[in-house]
Amino acid sequence: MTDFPTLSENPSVEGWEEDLAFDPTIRSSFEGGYVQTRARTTRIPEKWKIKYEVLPTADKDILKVFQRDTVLVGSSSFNWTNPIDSVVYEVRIAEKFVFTPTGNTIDFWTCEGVFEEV
Amino acid sequence: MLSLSGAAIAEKNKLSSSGVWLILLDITLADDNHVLLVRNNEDIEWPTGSGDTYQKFPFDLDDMKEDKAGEHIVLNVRVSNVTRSLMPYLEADKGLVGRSVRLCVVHSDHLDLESPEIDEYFKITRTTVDVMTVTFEFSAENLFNIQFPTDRFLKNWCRFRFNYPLGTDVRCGYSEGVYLECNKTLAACRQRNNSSRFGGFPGIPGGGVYTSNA
Repeated sequence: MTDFPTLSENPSVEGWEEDLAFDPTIRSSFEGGYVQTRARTTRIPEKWKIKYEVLPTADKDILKVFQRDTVLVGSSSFNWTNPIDSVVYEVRIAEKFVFTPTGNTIDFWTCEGVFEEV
Repeated sequence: MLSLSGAAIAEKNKLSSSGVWLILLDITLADDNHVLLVRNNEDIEWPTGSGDTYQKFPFDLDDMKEDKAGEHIVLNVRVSNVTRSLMPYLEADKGLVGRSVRLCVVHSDHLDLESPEIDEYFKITRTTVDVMTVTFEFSAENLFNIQFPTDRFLKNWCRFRFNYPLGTDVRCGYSEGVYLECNKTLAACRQRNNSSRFGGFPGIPGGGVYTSNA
């Protein structure tokens, strides 16, 4: 399986978000006033919002090519090492990366996207 | 009447539970291999320790329909076809029509129990495919389509399967390999120099009026 490219910068702490990909709870309300709950699936995938604050143009291009040509945005999954817990997860792109220039230069870019566990 | 195990009744009555009711599909293929699927996002081994791993696969079941007219129960099952993973099986075996399917419901906290809580057997009676889904129609076997009696005496129709590839049916025994198919008639069998093994009954008289001495 493809690996996520190694970039010169780590994602910034600011803008980092971790969450569950979905809530598997099934709820049934009863006339008696109580609610019965159970799970829909045995596993809950995670998702991560990744933000690179100051990414050089060369790295931004690597990320752009990876997203567009290698995994075709969310079509294919890849191995990604979470920089916080160093665990390798099989993920896909859930929300595609958006690239915006940082400040008044086009040498550095802010890149933001969301990964979800497969 | 549906009877549930003690463990299932306890799970059913809990106000909250982390366990999951899992729907398992066991499709028997022509070569007696099985396709094991579970509606979940994680593979499941059931029963625990058996080595039978049901693969995570997205599928949905419609409601089971039953009416007072005595029609067969029909259950439509829609299986994801986005990855085309079932297409080789469908193309190789006429859409799996006529194959047996076992549908079970088990509880994830009690996978060690060998008896499922719901256990139903169906035949696949129709298969439709589009780019997104494969829809199987599960129903019972139509008794009007079953040949009875199983064996019949026919004058000009061989009851054996043509022995190509070699080993398909030793009763046919054709081994020259010149012909790849047979239309099962005596003439075809003679053409293949195999008429001594013809599986029909050419001695049965044809035409005219016959009387029985019974």
